Amino acid sequence: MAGEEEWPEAAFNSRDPVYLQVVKQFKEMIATGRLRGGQTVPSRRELASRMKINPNTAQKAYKEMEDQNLIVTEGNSPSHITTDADVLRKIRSELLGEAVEAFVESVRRLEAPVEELVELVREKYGRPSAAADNNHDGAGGGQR
Amino acid sequence: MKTYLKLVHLEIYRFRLVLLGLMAMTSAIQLIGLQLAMRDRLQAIRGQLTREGLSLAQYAERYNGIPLGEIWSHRESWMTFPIVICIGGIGLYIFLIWYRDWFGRSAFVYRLLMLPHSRFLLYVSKFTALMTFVFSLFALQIGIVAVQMTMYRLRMPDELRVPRTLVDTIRGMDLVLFIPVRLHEFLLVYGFGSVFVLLLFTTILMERSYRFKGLLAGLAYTAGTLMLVAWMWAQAERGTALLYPSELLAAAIALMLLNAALSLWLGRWLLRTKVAA
Amino acid sequence: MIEVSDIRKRYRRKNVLNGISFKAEKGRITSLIGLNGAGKSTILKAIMGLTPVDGGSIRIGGQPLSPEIYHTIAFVPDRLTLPGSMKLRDGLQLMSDFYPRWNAEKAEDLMSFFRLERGERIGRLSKGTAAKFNLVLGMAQDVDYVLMDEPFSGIDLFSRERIAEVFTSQLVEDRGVLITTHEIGDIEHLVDRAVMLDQGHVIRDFDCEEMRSDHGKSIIDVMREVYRT
Repeated sequence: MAGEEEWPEAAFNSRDPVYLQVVKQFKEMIATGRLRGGQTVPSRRELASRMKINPNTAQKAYKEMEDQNLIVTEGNSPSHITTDADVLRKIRSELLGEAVEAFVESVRRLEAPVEELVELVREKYGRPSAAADNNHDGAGGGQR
Repeated sequence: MKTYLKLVHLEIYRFRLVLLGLMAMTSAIQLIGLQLAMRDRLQAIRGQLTREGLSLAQYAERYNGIPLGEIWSHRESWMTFPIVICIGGIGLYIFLIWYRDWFGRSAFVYRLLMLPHSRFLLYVSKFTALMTFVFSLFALQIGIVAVQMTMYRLRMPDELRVPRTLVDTIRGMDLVLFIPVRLHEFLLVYGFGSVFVLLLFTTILMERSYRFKGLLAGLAYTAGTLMLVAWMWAQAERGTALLYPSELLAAAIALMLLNAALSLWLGRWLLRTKVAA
Repeated sequence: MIEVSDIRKRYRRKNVLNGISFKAEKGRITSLIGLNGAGKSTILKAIMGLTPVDGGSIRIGGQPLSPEIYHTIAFVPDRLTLPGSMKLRDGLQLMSDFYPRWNAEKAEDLMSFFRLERGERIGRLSKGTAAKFNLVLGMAQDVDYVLMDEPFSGIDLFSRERIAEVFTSQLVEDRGVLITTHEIGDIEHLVDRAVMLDQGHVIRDFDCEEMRSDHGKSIIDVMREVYRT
């Protein structure tokens, strides 16, 4: 299980459903390897107090993740992240796809040529701190 | 029952400092007053003895002894003043015992009304507490008289002393109204007093439920009852009525019992459905 | 479930509540939102039987109001309801004396969570500390519903954050919480359902997550729509 310090203090935006933002956080943690396949997830109660959300919302987020086959619950044992490699792989591409889509959406308005963008991205992406910042800011807001 | 006793305890606890203050003040003034009164009286007598060249025995023979009650003649207010203050204090607290819960900085009335028990218990426990205060002061007054008798015995020369029982002393001191020595007097005075308190309690709740209109109705009713009883009393004294005094007394008692029942019932209903915090 | 249906109240020749109806379900956090004077506190007091209403009905778990109801519902008013001369310790004692559903263990946990001193006098508490102690008195009862009147009003940021954390804990799990507020900010992402009031009427009543997913609106967005016009 991820240590307590690894759980980001969630800065939720107020226009997207909180439970979906929680699901997204999980996906990001899986995509970046902070959560691995087969790892047990915190109980609903623990999750609520760690992420400072209403226990109902935690419940709803887990329900959603179960529906998406992200987490698996068997009998009475605690839920864990799926080991299904297919699902895990999809998460990464899904997140990347979403992020790029949002990026493209906002950049399209500037009508910049693709070559210039690629060049800029290459340059910016090389700087590690900027990359981390972008990643963090994008955690909540980039979905819609 | 347990909740009721706890509530009574709470009410007594909240008034304890004032009650102890009243008790201390009463004891101090009445005991010091007696000390001063005896000193004055003895000084006056000694003066008279030297002036007229009498011995104590001769004086006693001529004027008889001086009973405890008589010593007070010059300093009567030292005896009555604390009693008036106590009556005033308790009288005021009939209102404060309710209103302090509403108008205190903390709205304690919220807490009280939300207790998971019948709200009528609040009424009964406040009443019990108030009567406890009255009887504590009553008992204290008897105790003080007993102490005063000891002081009298120690201080007064044998020749002037008139030995009396506690009851006779109380009678001789004009305290009979506050310390009725006969059982039926006691029951009457405190019985009527309690009903009066119940009427005021319910008046307060009327005010809390219907504000000014409720207050007016309650006060009018209470005043009317008092006047009716006073009228019956006067009739009995004069003996001019259609009824014999004993019948008038019975009627007055019946009236007060009816009022007690009405106050309790109405108070209960108001607390349950109408009172606003 | 707390069911308020069509309650009405006049006070000092003004209509304070004009037929208020809503439901607060067990296991959910419902928020009554409205500007000052919208009737929020009056509704909570009516539910608690602290003020009589002129019409309509209130049911808690299907039951009408009675002293037994206070076994299942607790109220945290907008001020402390214990005499200021008491120490916190005495206040806790009073609660355990009179409330059969008082849970001393929970009280203990909350006292240390809020870092409250038992020896302090209630009358001397700062606003934030008083609000915390007030919350202890309500939350440490083993009841199905907790009503709170403006628990965040007029207190400092850190106290507000600390108090908001209570809503993420097991203390609210399986309970129905009904909370009034005029500034939703502190608890925006904690609330399940929002009931918006204006001049004694319910003007909006919605599930917050549905509002976000169906319309992409935050609670504050809806408030702007509703109260700005």
